[in-house]
Amino acid sequence: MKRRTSADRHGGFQDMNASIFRSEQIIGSLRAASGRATLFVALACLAGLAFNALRPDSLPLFQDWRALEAEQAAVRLATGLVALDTDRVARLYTEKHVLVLDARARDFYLMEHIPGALSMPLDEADARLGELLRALPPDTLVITYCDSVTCEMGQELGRKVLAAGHARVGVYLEGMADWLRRGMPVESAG
Amino acid sequence: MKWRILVWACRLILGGVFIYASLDKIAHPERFAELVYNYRILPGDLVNLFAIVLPWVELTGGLLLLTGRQPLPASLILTGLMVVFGSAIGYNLARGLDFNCGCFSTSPEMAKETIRTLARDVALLVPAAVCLFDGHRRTSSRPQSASPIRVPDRPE
Repeated sequence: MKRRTSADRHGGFQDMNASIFRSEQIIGSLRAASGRATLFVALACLAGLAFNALRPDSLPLFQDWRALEAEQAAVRLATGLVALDTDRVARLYTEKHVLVLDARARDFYLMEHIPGALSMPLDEADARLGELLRALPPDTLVITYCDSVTCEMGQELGRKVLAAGHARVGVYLEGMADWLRRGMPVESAG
Repeated sequence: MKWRILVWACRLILGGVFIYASLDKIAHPERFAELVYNYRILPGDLVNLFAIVLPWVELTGGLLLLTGRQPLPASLILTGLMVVFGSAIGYNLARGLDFNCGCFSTSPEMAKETIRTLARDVALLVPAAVCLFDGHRRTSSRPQSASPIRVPDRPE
């Protein structure tokens, strides 16, 4: 067996030093580049703010979107539909005289939905809704929902339920997004 | 030579994609703000601020990368943006949210997002990795004034 000479040991030490040097070089260049990247991001943000300030139709920097959307969605509701918020749906969905309909595509329903809700995607509503409603007692409250206040499938389904002759219809405007955000129970299938 | 062509192609793809993506958002900030809000990730109060500055960060990163003036910072900015976008899209797909990514257009008629959007974002990480590697090579190959560690010469 060949014995390690002093020169070999010196060579190993040199290789180790060189790899440490390379690592430090990488970290150093990344650190310097991160500093410059942060500076460019800050300059870009300033440019964006300046451009917005100069626009004739500039956006307000801060705006409460949740309140705005809920307001707009409530205005869009058709006559006869009742807007329901998360608190009210949470109180109602387990009641015997309440039927909850999920207007989203079936894949999303299978992933998670309000416990006890039935899947009623909009494109199936015309074919299935009539039969379902005929089997319901007339005083049943039908609650429809989709993802959030910006999706209109829940309202559209609510209008279809109304058009089918059922009088008690509520639309859960905040929908699944707010249900999940509030940590309410969900059910999954499939 | 082949490496230089590959790097140029990657810079052209990545820089071009980000510049193109930023223009419609800069032109229609109100529509972009609505798309940002639909992601349901940011607090409502911060939506407008984000929608105003983000396209400019994309544009700056894209221009810096295309002009080749600051390849490493530009690659870092664009890679960071893609990681943020990918995480947001993946998170929303996982929780089944019905949303438009608003990646290239703020039009409300755009198709809803699917796993393909996420795959496209992940695919763009490949040119980003090439640009990052090249940016580091170019930065570290510049003459250094003094090395931090002195490497002794191997004795003869």
